[in-house]
Amino acid sequence: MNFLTNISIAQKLRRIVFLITGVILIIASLVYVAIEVHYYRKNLVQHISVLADVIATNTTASLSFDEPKTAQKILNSLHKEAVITRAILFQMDEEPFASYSDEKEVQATIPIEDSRWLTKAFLEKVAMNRYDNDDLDLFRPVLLDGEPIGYLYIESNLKPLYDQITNYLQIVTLLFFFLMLGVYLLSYYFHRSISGPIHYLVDGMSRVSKEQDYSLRLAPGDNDEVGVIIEGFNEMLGQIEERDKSLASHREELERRVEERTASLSKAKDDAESASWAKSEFLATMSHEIRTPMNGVLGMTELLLDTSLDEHARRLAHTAHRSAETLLSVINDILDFSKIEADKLQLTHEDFNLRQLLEETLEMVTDQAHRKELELLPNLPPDLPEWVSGDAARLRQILINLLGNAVKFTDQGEVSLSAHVVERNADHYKLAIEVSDTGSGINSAQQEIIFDAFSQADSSTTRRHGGTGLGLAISKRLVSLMGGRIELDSVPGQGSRSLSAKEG
Amino acid sequence: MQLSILLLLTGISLPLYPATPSTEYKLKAALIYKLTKFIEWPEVQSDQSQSSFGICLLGEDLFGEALDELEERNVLEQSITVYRFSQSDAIDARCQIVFISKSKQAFVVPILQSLKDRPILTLSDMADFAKQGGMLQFTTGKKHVGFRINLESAKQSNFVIAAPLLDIATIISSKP
Repeated sequence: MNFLTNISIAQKLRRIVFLITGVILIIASLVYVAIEVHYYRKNLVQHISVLADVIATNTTASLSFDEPKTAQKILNSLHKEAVITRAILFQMDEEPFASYSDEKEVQATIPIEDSRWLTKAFLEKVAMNRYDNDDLDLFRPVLLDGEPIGYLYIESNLKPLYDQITNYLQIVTLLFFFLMLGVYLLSYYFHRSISGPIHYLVDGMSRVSKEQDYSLRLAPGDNDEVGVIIEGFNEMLGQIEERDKSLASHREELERRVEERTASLSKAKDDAESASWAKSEFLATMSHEIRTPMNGVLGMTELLLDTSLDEHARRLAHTAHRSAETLLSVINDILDFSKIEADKLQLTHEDFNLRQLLEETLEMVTDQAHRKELELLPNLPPDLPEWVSGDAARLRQILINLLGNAVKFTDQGEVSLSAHVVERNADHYKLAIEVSDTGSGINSAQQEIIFDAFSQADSSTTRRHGGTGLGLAISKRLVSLMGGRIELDSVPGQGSRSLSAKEG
Repeated sequence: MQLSILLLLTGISLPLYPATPSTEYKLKAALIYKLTKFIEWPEVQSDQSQSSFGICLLGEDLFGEALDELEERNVLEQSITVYRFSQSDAIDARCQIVFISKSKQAFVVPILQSLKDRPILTLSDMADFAKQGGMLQFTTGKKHVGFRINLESAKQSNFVIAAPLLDIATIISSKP
């Protein structure tokens, strides 16, 4: 159906009507011609047979009394029959007696293509006829009183039929064009009733999509499919319009809500910022305000211990001094952590003796280790750099935390401190400082969290060993501030090895 | 020659009976037979009792055995019988055709008169036969024998002559 694509409905209708009309006309004409030819041939045989009978009867006397002139006269009368091309009257001895040819002045002879058929007919001596291509050959014995006295042969041609058909086809062709013209005019008149409403609908659609005007409604069409489409289109426009309205109101509602939420969020942000600032202020103030009285307490208990006290009073004062020290360290931890969290911690840069710092640090936990009968093993190779630059106080804090933890969680065996250079560049070293113990060890799940704030391997340790749980968290953050990292290598029951790498 | 001499000697008491007819009369004998097929015979069709078709000859016999040969043939399923008469009074109902010989030319009018209104076809090859009231006359042309037909006479005796024969014949009316 290629000829029906890419054209308007009006053209489609017109082409369909044309096609159907044309095909029907052509078929009808062909059928008519076929029937005409069939009956013409059938009728021609009958017609020529009657003619032959008449001629045979009329020529009996001529044949009987050997009077060919009259027979010739009778045969000549055949020129009125345009169909007959030749006729020959034979005597019993098959000699031509009289003949007729439609061509003037030409003696009719037996055509070559018919001679064999005629020979057969002469033998059989009965009436017969045949169609040889477009020729009708007819053979009749001339009977007188039931006895053959001669033969008649008539040849007719279908040319008049074909002339007639040609004529007919010319008329049909002319008629065809007039009919097509009529069909064209009629279809032009009628298709408007179909394509008109469709055009109207298409116009309406393009207007809606161009102007985005969904309030438009089309006038209802006829009571047919197009009418239904128009109705449906109007309904659809109504639904779209309604949806538009609800969408618009929904959007407004949404915008209003977003504004509300934004306002409340920015207020919350302001509140949080001011609270954070207040907290920092508070911490900065507190670090000073808390330490001053603590130092007072420590100083006074030290002075008290230097006086002459009896044994009981001395023990009490000593306990008070130790408690104050513990409290100060806890407070320091908390303040350090707060500072780190608030990004307010600044590292200092000063030259210090590394070996000396490591040895001093080890000494600081000696008392604690000896009380638990643990062995402290320093492993400081001689190629260790002597003077390095960095924040010595913070490095010491980290190492005390690690060593303290190692001593705290080891019941027997040893705690070792080792250091070595990993990388040596022109202006800085990369050092690995390792603390290992033979303590209880930490399982892999807890290894992940012990460097988080306020956590210990399990909550029971807090009760047994004390501590805020901030030490390792602070250490980890300090190391990362120094550009290094802390690694932990431990299997439960086999001790722990914490490794801190530091650059400086 | 001996035979003709003998005939001359025996005189007119003997019937005229030529042993060998001329070609012309052989043909005419055949034509008489053929003619029967182009004529509707009123009497024969109504009278079935008659067993033969009579062809009668009046006057001098120039046909000889050529006429007798016709007896082997049939007309309307009746065998032909040939009768020869010398006087017209003797012609009776057995005759369907009477061929009047040229020898009777002088008496043709009274003979025809006597045969008038009888169902007998009168035939002759004498000149002006048709004009004088005879129904069918043979004419001898250059090549072949032709016919003259007096339709009035034929109709008077209720003969219908077939159209094809009329086509090839010359129609003659009686003398006024």
